[in-house]
Amino acid sequence: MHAGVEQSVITDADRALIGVETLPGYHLIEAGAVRRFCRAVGLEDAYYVDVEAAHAAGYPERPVPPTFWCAIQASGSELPRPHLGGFGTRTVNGGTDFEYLKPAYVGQTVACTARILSLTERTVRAGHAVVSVIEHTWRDISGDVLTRARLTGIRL
Amino acid sequence: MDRVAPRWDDVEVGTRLPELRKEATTRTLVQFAGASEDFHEIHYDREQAERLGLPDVILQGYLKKSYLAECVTNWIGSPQRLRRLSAEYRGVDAPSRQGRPQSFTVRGRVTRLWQEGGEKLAEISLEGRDGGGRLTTPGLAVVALG
Repeated sequence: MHAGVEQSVITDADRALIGVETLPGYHLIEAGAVRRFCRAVGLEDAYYVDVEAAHAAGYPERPVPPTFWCAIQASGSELPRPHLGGFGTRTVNGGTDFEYLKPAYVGQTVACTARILSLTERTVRAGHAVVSVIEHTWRDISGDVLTRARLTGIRL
Repeated sequence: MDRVAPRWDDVEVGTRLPELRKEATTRTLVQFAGASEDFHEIHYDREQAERLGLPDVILQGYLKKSYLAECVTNWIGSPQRLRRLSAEYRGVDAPSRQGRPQSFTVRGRVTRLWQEGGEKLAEISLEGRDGGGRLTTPGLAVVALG
């Protein structure tokens, strides 16, 4: 509960969702998807899209651009959403924090899971808010974590 | 690798990364929406953006974070030297339009150097600023240097 707010909008049912991990969603890292991503961002490094350029640059395959993971997140519909007693009308993207633990390449199949790490109430510039941190984890087929992302959502 | 990575011994706290200047147009926003599968209307529907109190459609957070990543990987020479990358979306950025050009500039500065787990690491403070110099997207990166 936040000072100045008589009752927390985060219910026990919402708190019960914290830490519950989704089933894995499987994604093939497709060359075409990476090419479209590079074109959209304006990434000109040939090793992202050209196998020979990747080999020439010392990679065994085309490496995955650092932010490409946003294109293969767990489906939002798979992650249970806290109801928050109907609080708020919009959710703002507050920021993202990625950790890179193992290299990933085009052609790999990866498994993505997601879970709510925390729900807290705060007063921000726009008023009262519920801040959620959602963690997405991508693993390779051997179960090793490739990348982990923490996404901060601000419900207003 | 395509570029020569800076050596840890040659880098010091305060070392600045080469600045990266990007210009995202409405076409860029639509391309990125398709590439990232983020079809929130505030990134391509001006009327919807205005109804939500925004002056124009706005750049996707992940597009801006991609620009931060590009600034860092241009310097370190490989995406695989990146260990961590964070971004905060504190302000909105509008796309560049005919007669009203906009830009997004990324600057980076080394703020810490240390060794851990057999790696020589550098922390980089990042600033993503709009064409008017307003800091909309601060960030932080940790990279491994040779």
